Amino acid sequence: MRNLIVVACSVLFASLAWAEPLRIAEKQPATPDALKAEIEALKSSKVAWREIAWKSCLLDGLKESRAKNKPALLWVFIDRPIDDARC
Amino acid sequence: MFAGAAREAVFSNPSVIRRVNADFVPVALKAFLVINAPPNDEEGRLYREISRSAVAPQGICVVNSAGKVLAWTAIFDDDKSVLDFLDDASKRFAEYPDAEKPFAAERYMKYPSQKMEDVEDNGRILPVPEQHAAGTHCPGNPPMRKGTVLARILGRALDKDGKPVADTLRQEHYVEDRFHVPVAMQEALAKALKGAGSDRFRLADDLARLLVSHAFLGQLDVNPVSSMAGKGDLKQGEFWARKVVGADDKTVRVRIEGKSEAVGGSNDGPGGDQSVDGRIWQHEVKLTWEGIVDMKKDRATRLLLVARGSEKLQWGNKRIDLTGEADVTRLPLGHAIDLECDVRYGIIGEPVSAEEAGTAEEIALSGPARAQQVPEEARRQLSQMLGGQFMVFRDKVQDELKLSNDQQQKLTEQFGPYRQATMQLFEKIRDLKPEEREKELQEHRRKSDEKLSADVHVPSQ
Repeated sequence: MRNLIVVACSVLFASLAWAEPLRIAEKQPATPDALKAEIEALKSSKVAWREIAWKSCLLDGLKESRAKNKPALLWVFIDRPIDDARC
Repeated sequence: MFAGAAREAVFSNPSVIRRVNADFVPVALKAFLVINAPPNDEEGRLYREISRSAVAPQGICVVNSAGKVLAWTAIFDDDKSVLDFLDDASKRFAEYPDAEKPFAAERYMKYPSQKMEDVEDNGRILPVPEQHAAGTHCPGNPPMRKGTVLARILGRALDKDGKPVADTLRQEHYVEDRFHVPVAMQEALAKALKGAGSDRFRLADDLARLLVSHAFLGQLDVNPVSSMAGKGDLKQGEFWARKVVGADDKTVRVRIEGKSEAVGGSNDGPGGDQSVDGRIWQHEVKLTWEGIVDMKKDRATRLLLVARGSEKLQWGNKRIDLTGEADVTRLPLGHAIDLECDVRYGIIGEPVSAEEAGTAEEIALSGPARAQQVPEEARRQLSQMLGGQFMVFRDKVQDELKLSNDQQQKLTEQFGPYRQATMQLFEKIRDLKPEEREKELQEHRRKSDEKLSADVHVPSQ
């Protein structure tokens, strides 16, 4: 009888698993605060390519060029690599 | 590849950083603003003047305070050449700080060994407006539809102890990216949520695909979901959602869980990537996801997602050893990658701010909208003239490749320079003999093909 119950339970659970291919995990879900903390911990505070404060506005750049008597260095690129984008 | 490689090899070099910060005003411009779709106003005329002497769709340029080009280059002979280029440009600026005296734009494909013909001053002095035209946003920061969620993703490679790899320079170790969750996707989610009540429901495929297609390490070229530079496949992208509890009376919180598996790589055989610039790559990303979306009515107000899993990435080149010379000498090809490790990703999304949002009219006048207005007929003509891989600009081909909206927009942005160069060529060869015309056309096709492989995110990026 005990074996029969085990088999029956196995079949039952197997059929449930089949009906729901991806089950919500049994563990306690992370809270929004915990998720946010985990995500923010991934961010590096010091990244070499952020050491240059690129402007994204040509007019601002030319205005500063005049004011500081410095040439403007234009990095013309297809993507958006200056702050937080993959390129 | 070019932009990522330039960021790593040129603008992360401490000597270059010091020099740029001390002696230059650094401005980063998207190529399509300068070359393809500048606004039709005084500011746009400045962009056109800068692009008049451009050596390639992407590059590094120094201009004086009047927006006149002092020098352009695409790549460098070695690390020291970067500083030499900046030195030379500084000297030219001291001589020509404004538009008072005419001067030619110096141009290099590779500085200093591959100099190109100078482009003479056209004698025009363009006004530099104090601000953008009334009723428009800065072309460098085009507006988005109110309610669009701006999602920022962080990705890390983990070491054998499960800690993030210390290097944050290379994108195969550390990546930051951003993407938008359009209002329409949020409305669809709200509708599905309403229909499901308290039952769990499957997230729409387009939203699942959007999330997974940004969770990978490495440069844009190696997107394992839908690479424009090879094969990409979302083998599994199954996300489930269930209403849990409101964060407050007006907010509905949705818990998300999912699994994803993406596998991509370079094309094989004739016409594949290998026959274009020799690149070979393979990428597999397996992730388990969890997180929440807060909804208010039919809009998402917060998105928090974490994904954990493993990743394998290899990048190389059949024709060139990518481990040899300095990276600055081969920016379009990148560096060799051989990665196999556990990874972690995090996504935080919030609606765009009032400053980032624009009216329908402002959005219609923005750069991306102008770029999208390139008619299909023009793309068909160009693909017929240049053949082969230029078919990727066609709507139908982009649909078949299942390119994302972002990818389609990037391609559209890259269309202009090829159209412009081809029109110029036809103007130039108009009066030549047929055989000379064909010879010039063949050469143009060959160069365009190489450029498309190297500079553009097409069958290679």
